[in-house]
Amino acid sequence: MDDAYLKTASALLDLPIRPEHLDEVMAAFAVITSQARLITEFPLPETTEAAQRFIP
Amino acid sequence: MSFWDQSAIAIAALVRSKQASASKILEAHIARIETLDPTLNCFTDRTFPRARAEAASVDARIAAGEDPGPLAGVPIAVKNLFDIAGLPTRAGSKIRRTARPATSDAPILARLIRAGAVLLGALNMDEYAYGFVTENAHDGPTRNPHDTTRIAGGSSGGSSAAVAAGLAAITLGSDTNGSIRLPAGLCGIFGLKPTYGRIDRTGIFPFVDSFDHLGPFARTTADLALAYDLLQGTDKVFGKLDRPVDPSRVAILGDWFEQGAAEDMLDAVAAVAKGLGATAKTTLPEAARARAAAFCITAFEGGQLHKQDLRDRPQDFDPATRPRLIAGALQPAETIYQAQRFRAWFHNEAMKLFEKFDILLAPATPCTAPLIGQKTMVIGGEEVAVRPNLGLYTQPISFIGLPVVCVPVVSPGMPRGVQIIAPPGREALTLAAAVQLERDGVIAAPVAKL
Repeated sequence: MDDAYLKTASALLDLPIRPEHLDEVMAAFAVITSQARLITEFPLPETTEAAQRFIP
Repeated sequence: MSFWDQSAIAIAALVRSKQASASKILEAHIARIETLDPTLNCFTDRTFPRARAEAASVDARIAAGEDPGPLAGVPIAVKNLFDIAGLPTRAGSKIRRTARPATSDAPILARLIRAGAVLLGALNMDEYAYGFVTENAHDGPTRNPHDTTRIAGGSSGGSSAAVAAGLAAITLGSDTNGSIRLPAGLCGIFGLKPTYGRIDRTGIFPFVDSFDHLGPFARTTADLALAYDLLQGTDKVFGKLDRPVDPSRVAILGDWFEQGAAEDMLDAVAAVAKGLGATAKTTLPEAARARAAAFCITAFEGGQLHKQDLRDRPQDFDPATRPRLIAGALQPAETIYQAQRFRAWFHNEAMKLFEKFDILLAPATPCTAPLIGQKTMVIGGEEVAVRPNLGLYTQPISFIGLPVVCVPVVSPGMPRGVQIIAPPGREALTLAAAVQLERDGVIAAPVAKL
């Protein structure tokens, strides 16, 4: 699943991954995915807004 | 007198009272750099001609009866992501070393020069500040002055090792996920990461806009406070740090900030707590998720920043940096949006904690400095990779921009750093606690024996 996503995202976002770099990028993406799961599985209140800092 | 082991304040006092010239002090530091830096590898650029001109200018002002400022003749150096007039701002990369040279110093560097400081050069770092080890593929590793087989930490490894070795009295670095606190802890010196947004980032090559901080390294709390005051203009703390710390408002952070830490690191935290008279322990909830969110946002923003070069010339990146930047840039938007929402939630939880406490304590690192080239380490009985895991206890704190002083606990072996953490905008609290501990002999940063 991660591999399929990565290859699709690479094509769609125009960031090609050279064959000699593919294994290391896939390994890094697997670590990111495991960390991302800790965030997306956490139920936040609907009222929680993103901590962006745009000050007009 | 060997000037290189003097504090910045002591050096300035010698110069201002005409007991030593700025030029003489500079030459003592240059000689030490030329002797030790071939081994330590702190400096990537040496600006000695400029330094000699600046020292001569300080001496001329003294001779004319003028006051060159509170850093009169103090040798300093900066991480090589700071703009230095006439040099490309390489930011630890191969790619940027052919960039057009900076036309002026970064404003916060210029502030120190206006205060009488003398610039020795630019210092080694992890490529684009993305690392905790300063084992730079292009410039080589910076070695820990306390044991040259070990890392100095990163990403501001050159900045911390230079101060620890007596090559400079004060240096500047950046901290996105721990890059001031972590190398300060591993090299046994003081490092201050101020509140997010406190210090002007103009003229600094960026890494992660959401988390980038700048701050000083020094061997005394007074030097650290003085440098902090000079780096920003509004929060004057120097000379006001003798307020006693209320022990009932200090707590050790448990849970995440203890799990996996080596026994001697927990002992260091206990020593700091004891020195402040504190007995409480508390929890900053969901710190593991905070670390995860910082991890993902860092990879995303860093990847986006370098996307053009990752597409056009990926072979020119440090192999340790490249895969994380590419993978980071390709993350789904959902992760980053939820991570930024979590950041707001986590900040709110920390603010609740600060209703009860003024100061929180945690280790700077899970262990003392690993060996150069070491790939794995054991944390909590589990073998894990060194590079991503050294910042376990620093990442949740910079994630929400809290001010921290990393202090060196007096140790018989390798240095051990402890984070003294305060609410946003309360740098004076962390510095006052450090002053008290230093006065009582709990913490100290002597020049490493080399």
